[in-house]
Amino acid sequence: MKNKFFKYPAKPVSAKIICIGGAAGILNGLLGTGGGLLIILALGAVFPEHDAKDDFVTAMAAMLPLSLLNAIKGSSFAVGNALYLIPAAIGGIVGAVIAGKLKSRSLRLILAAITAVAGINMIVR
Amino acid sequence: MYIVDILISGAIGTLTGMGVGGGGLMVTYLTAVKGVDVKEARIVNLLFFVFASFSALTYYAKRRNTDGRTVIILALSGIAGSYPGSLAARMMPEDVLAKVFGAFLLISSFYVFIRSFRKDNKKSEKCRK
Repeated sequence: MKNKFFKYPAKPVSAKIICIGGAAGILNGLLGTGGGLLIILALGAVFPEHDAKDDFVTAMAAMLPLSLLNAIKGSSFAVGNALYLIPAAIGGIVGAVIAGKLKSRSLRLILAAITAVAGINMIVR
Repeated sequence: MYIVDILISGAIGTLTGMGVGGGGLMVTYLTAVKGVDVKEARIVNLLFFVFASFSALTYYAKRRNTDGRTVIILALSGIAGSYPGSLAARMMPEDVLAKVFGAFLLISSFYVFIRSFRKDNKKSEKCRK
Protein backbone atom coordinates (compact mmCIF):
# COMPACT_ATOMS: atom_id res chain seq x y z
CA MET A 1 0.00 0.00 0.00
CA LYS A 2 1.40 3.40 -0.98
CA ASN A 3 2.02 5.94 1.77
CA LYS A 4 1.14 9.35 0.36
CA PHE A 5 3.95 11.07 2.29
CA PHE A 6 6.58 8.94 0.53
CA LYS A 7 5.55 9.19 -3.09
CA TYR A 8 8.93 8.86 -4.75
CA PRO A 9 10.79 5.55 -4.71
CA ALA A 10 12.60 5.19 -1.37
CA LYS A 11 16.06 6.72 -1.31
CA PRO A 12 18.79 5.88 1.22
CA VAL A 13 19.94 8.54 3.67
CA SER A 14 22.48 10.50 1.72
CA ALA A 15 25.45 12.47 2.95
CA LYS A 16 24.62 14.99 0.23
CA ILE A 17 21.14 15.55 1.67
CA ILE A 18 22.57 16.01 5.17
CA CYS A 19 25.14 18.52 3.89
CA ILE A 20 22.48 20.41 1.94
CA GLY A 21 20.31 20.63 5.03
CA GLY A 22 23.21 21.71 7.22
CA ALA A 23 24.26 24.43 4.79
CA ALA A 24 20.67 25.64 4.51
CA GLY A 25 20.47 25.78 8.29
CA ILE A 26 23.66 27.85 8.53
CA LEU A 27 22.37 30.26 5.89
CA ASN A 28 18.98 30.56 7.57
CA GLY A 29 20.53 31.09 10.97
CA LEU A 30 22.87 33.74 9.58
CA LEU A 31 20.53 35.71 7.30
CA GLY A 32 17.04 34.61 8.34
CA THR A 33 16.36 33.54 4.77
CA GLY A 34 17.92 31.73 1.87
CA GLY A 35 17.95 28.20 3.18
CA GLY A 36 14.98 27.24 1.07
CA LEU A 37 16.51 28.58 -2.11
CA LEU A 38 19.74 26.74 -1.37
CA ILE A 39 17.80 23.49 -0.92
CA ILE A 40 15.88 24.01 -4.16
CA LEU A 41 19.04 24.64 -6.18
CA ALA A 42 20.95 21.79 -4.52
CA LEU A 43 18.11 19.27 -4.93
CA GLY A 44 17.86 20.27 -8.57
CA ALA A 45 21.51 19.36 -8.98
CA VAL A 46 21.38 16.14 -6.94
CA PHE A 47 18.01 14.91 -8.28
CA PRO A 48 17.73 16.32 -11.81
CA GLU A 49 14.78 14.05 -12.52
CA HIS A 50 12.61 15.94 -10.04
CA ASP A 51 10.19 18.65 -11.08
CA ALA A 52 11.32 22.04 -9.77
CA LYS A 53 7.95 22.56 -8.09
CA ASP A 54 8.34 19.34 -6.12
CA ASP A 55 11.77 20.50 -4.94
CA PHE A 56 10.20 23.80 -3.92
CA VAL A 57 7.58 22.05 -1.78
CA THR A 58 10.28 19.83 -0.23
CA ALA A 59 12.37 22.90 0.61
CA MET A 60 9.40 24.74 2.05
CA ALA A 61 8.42 21.79 4.24
CA ALA A 62 12.00 21.29 5.44
CA MET A 63 12.52 24.97 6.27
CA LEU A 64 9.28 25.34 8.22
CA PRO A 65 10.41 23.78 11.54
CA LEU A 66 13.84 25.33 11.22
CA SER A 67 12.47 28.82 10.68
CA LEU A 68 10.04 28.40 13.58
CA LEU A 69 12.85 27.34 15.90
CA ASN A 70 15.09 30.25 14.86
CA ALA A 71 12.22 32.70 15.20
CA ILE A 72 11.37 31.49 18.71
CA LYS A 73 15.01 31.81 19.78
CA GLY A 74 15.10 35.50 18.86
CA SER A 75 11.49 36.52 19.19
CA SER A 76 11.30 39.40 21.68
CA PHE A 77 10.76 41.89 18.85
CA ALA A 78 8.78 39.61 16.55
CA VAL A 79 5.96 38.85 18.99
CA GLY A 80 4.31 42.20 18.26
CA ASN A 81 4.22 41.74 14.50
CA ALA A 82 0.93 39.98 13.84
CA LEU A 83 0.34 42.72 11.26
CA TYR A 84 2.71 40.90 8.96
CA LEU A 85 1.86 37.34 9.88
CA ILE A 86 -1.86 37.06 9.13
CA PRO A 87 -1.57 38.62 5.64
CA ALA A 88 1.41 36.30 5.10
CA ALA A 89 -0.77 33.27 5.81
CA ILE A 90 -3.47 34.48 3.45
CA GLY A 91 -0.93 35.39 0.78
CA GLY A 92 0.73 32.01 1.12
CA ILE A 93 -2.31 30.04 0.14
CA VAL A 94 -3.27 32.52 -2.57
CA GLY A 95 0.22 32.16 -4.01
CA ALA A 96 0.00 28.39 -3.90
CA VAL A 97 -3.22 28.46 -5.90
CA ILE A 98 -1.81 30.92 -8.47
CA ALA A 99 1.46 29.02 -8.83
CA GLY A 100 -0.36 26.03 -10.22
CA LYS A 101 -1.26 28.13 -13.21
CA LEU A 102 2.33 29.16 -14.03
CA LYS A 103 5.26 27.21 -15.45
CA SER A 104 8.48 26.74 -13.45
CA ARG A 105 10.48 28.88 -15.83
CA SER A 106 8.21 31.90 -15.36
CA LEU A 107 8.53 31.60 -11.59
CA ARG A 108 12.32 31.37 -11.73
CA LEU A 109 12.71 34.41 -13.98
CA ILE A 110 10.47 36.50 -11.71
CA LEU A 111 12.46 35.32 -8.69
CA ALA A 112 15.78 36.17 -10.33
CA ALA A 113 14.73 39.71 -11.19
CA ILE A 114 13.21 40.45 -7.79
CA THR A 115 16.12 39.09 -5.78
CA ALA A 116 18.68 40.93 -7.93
CA VAL A 117 16.96 44.24 -7.23
CA ALA A 118 16.69 43.47 -3.53
CA GLY A 119 20.36 42.44 -3.40
CA ILE A 120 21.61 45.62 -5.04
CA ASN A 121 19.49 47.65 -2.64
CA MET A 122 20.99 45.92 0.39
CA ILE A 123 24.58 46.39 -0.82
CA VAL A 124 24.40 50.06 -1.78
CA ARG A 125 22.29 51.39 1.12
CA MET B 1 0.59 52.98 7.17
CA TYR B 2 -0.84 49.78 8.67
CA ILE B 3 -2.79 49.21 5.44
CA VAL B 4 0.45 49.41 3.45
CA ASP B 5 2.11 46.91 5.79
CA ILE B 6 -0.81 44.52 5.41
CA LEU B 7 -0.82 44.82 1.61
CA ILE B 8 2.94 44.40 1.34
CA SER B 9 2.87 41.38 3.65
CA GLY B 10 0.06 39.83 1.67
CA ALA B 11 1.86 40.41 -1.62
CA ILE B 12 5.15 38.98 -0.37
CA GLY B 13 3.26 36.07 1.22
CA THR B 14 1.71 35.41 -2.20
CA LEU B 15 5.15 35.36 -3.81
CA THR B 16 6.32 32.97 -1.09
CA GLY B 17 3.40 30.66 -1.75
CA MET B 18 4.08 30.78 -5.47
CA GLY B 19 7.68 29.72 -4.92
CA VAL B 20 9.02 32.96 -6.30
CA GLY B 21 10.53 33.77 -2.91
CA GLY B 22 9.69 36.44 -0.39
CA GLY B 23 12.33 36.28 2.31
CA GLY B 24 14.72 38.72 0.77
CA LEU B 25 11.91 41.09 -0.08
CA MET B 26 10.48 41.14 3.44
CA VAL B 27 13.87 41.84 5.00
CA THR B 28 14.48 44.56 2.38
CA TYR B 29 11.08 46.16 3.10
CA LEU B 30 11.59 46.09 6.85
CA THR B 31 15.10 47.55 6.69
CA ALA B 32 14.72 50.04 3.82
CA VAL B 33 11.16 51.27 4.45
CA LYS B 34 10.43 50.59 8.12
CA GLY B 35 13.95 51.30 9.37
CA VAL B 36 14.21 48.01 11.25
CA ASP B 37 17.66 46.60 12.03
CA VAL B 38 18.74 43.74 9.78
CA LYS B 39 19.07 41.49 12.80
CA GLU B 40 15.51 42.17 13.94
CA ALA B 41 14.21 41.97 10.35
CA ARG B 42 15.67 38.46 10.13
CA ILE B 43 13.53 37.31 13.03
CA VAL B 44 10.33 38.89 11.68
CA ASN B 45 11.08 37.32 8.31
CA LEU B 46 11.45 33.87 9.85
CA LEU B 47 8.03 34.11 11.50
CA PHE B 48 6.62 35.55 8.30
CA PHE B 49 7.92 32.56 6.37
CA VAL B 50 6.45 30.12 8.91
CA PHE B 51 2.96 31.56 8.48
CA ALA B 52 3.14 31.94 4.68
CA SER B 53 4.65 28.53 4.02
CA PHE B 54 2.42 26.66 6.46
CA SER B 55 -0.70 27.88 4.69
CA ALA B 56 0.83 27.24 1.26
CA LEU B 57 1.79 23.70 2.30
CA THR B 58 -1.83 22.93 3.22
CA TYR B 59 -2.58 23.43 -0.48
CA TYR B 60 0.51 21.71 -1.88
CA ALA B 61 0.54 18.66 0.40
CA LYS B 62 -1.88 16.59 -1.66
CA ARG B 63 -0.98 18.01 -5.05
CA ARG B 64 2.80 17.61 -5.32
CA ASN B 65 5.24 14.76 -4.93
CA THR B 66 7.59 15.15 -2.00
CA ASP B 67 9.79 12.56 -0.34
CA GLY B 68 9.02 12.62 3.38
CA ARG B 69 12.37 11.12 4.28
CA THR B 70 14.22 13.87 2.44
CA VAL B 71 12.13 16.53 4.21
CA ILE B 72 12.88 15.07 7.63
CA ILE B 73 16.62 14.72 6.98
CA LEU B 74 16.84 18.25 5.59
CA ALA B 75 14.91 19.66 8.55
CA LEU B 76 17.02 17.89 11.18
CA SER B 77 20.34 18.74 9.57
CA GLY B 78 19.09 22.27 9.01
CA ILE B 79 18.28 22.67 12.69
CA ALA B 80 21.80 21.50 13.54
CA GLY B 81 23.30 23.95 11.05
CA SER B 82 21.22 26.88 12.31
CA TYR B 83 23.13 27.08 15.61
CA PRO B 84 26.49 28.15 14.12
CA GLY B 85 24.60 30.38 11.68
CA SER B 86 22.73 32.19 14.45
CA LEU B 87 25.93 32.54 16.46
CA ALA B 88 27.71 34.11 13.50
CA ALA B 89 24.80 36.54 12.98
CA ARG B 90 24.96 37.69 16.61
CA MET B 91 28.69 38.31 16.36
CA MET B 92 28.60 40.09 12.99
CA PRO B 93 28.24 43.91 12.80
CA GLU B 94 24.90 45.13 11.42
CA ASP B 95 26.29 46.76 8.25
CA VAL B 96 28.45 43.76 7.40
CA LEU B 97 25.45 41.46 7.81
CA ALA B 98 23.42 43.67 5.46
CA LYS B 99 26.10 43.51 2.77
CA VAL B 100 26.51 39.75 3.19
CA PHE B 101 22.76 39.44 2.77
CA GLY B 102 22.80 41.63 -0.35
CA ALA B 103 25.63 39.61 -1.87
CA PHE B 104 23.71 36.41 -1.19
CA LEU B 105 20.65 37.80 -2.97
CA LEU B 106 22.72 38.76 -6.03
CA ILE B 107 24.41 35.34 -6.20
CA SER B 108 21.12 33.52 -5.82
CA SER B 109 19.45 35.66 -8.47
CA PHE B 110 22.24 34.76 -10.89
CA TYR B 111 21.88 31.01 -10.25
CA VAL B 112 18.11 31.11 -10.48
CA PHE B 113 18.35 33.04 -13.76
CA ILE B 114 20.76 30.49 -15.21
CA ARG B 115 18.64 27.59 -14.00
CA SER B 116 15.51 29.00 -15.56
CA PHE B 117 16.91 28.24 -19.00
CA ARG B 118 17.68 24.62 -18.24
CA LYS B 119 15.16 22.15 -19.64
CA ASP B 120 12.53 21.10 -17.09
CA ASN B 121 12.76 17.36 -16.59
CA LYS B 122 9.46 15.54 -16.83
CA LYS B 123 10.59 12.17 -15.47
CA SER B 124 8.81 12.86 -12.20
CA GLU B 125 5.52 12.49 -14.07
CA LYS B 126 6.20 8.72 -14.23
CA CYS B 127 6.93 8.60 -10.50
CA ARG B 128 3.41 9.79 -9.70
CA LYS B 129 1.79 6.86 -11.50
